[in-house]
Amino acid sequence: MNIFNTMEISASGLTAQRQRLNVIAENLANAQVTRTPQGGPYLRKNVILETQPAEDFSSLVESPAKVAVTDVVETREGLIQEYDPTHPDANEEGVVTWPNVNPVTEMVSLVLASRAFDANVAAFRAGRAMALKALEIGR
Amino acid sequence: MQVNAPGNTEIMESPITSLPSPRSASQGENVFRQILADVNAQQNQADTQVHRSLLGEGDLHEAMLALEQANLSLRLLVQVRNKLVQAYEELSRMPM
Repeated sequence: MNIFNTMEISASGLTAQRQRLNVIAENLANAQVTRTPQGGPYLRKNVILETQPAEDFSSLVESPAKVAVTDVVETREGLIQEYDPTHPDANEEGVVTWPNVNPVTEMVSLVLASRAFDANVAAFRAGRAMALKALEIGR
Repeated sequence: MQVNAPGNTEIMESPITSLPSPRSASQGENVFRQILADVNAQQNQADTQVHRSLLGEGDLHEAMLALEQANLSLRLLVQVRNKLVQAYEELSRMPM
């Protein structure tokens, strides 16, 4: 049924934003982590969203592309170096490397993810309202 | 008209997997049976999704979306049934 197509697209958007929120929460929780199992400080993670590839042309026409998180990438850019010889994780020169997580950026991403989730819910509600109105035609 | 409150999914505790086929059914009846089976399948799916999200396996929104889809399907079913009953009443009122 065609009306459920809209809902499935919205559902994929909701799932993608949930995963984005998970990654942002992880970044915020690990903002001061200087040791990780793979060594070194925590590296900021970022989600890569991608439209789900259609199997063939007819499916591309019939069902518009859904969104999905394809990858979660780590960036080494912007690691903060701080001179603190008393810190246990300081190197030979007494420099501690802190994670490249900027709480302000993460909060902005958080708001964006939250608003995108809301937008998907709004799209879903619009689809549902249209379906209900369509059912009212026969009444 | 609240035909399917989200809490009412436990009504479908015994999932009807296949409906018995009638002896020589009319086309309208067949269509109705098809819709009935679809709606039933959707109710069962919503039920599974709710269970999954309550067990912490699935996402909350997926359960809600499945419930909404089941709700809409049921409303469509009720509308189709109303139309069938309406047609029957129209015929039964027909003077012979």
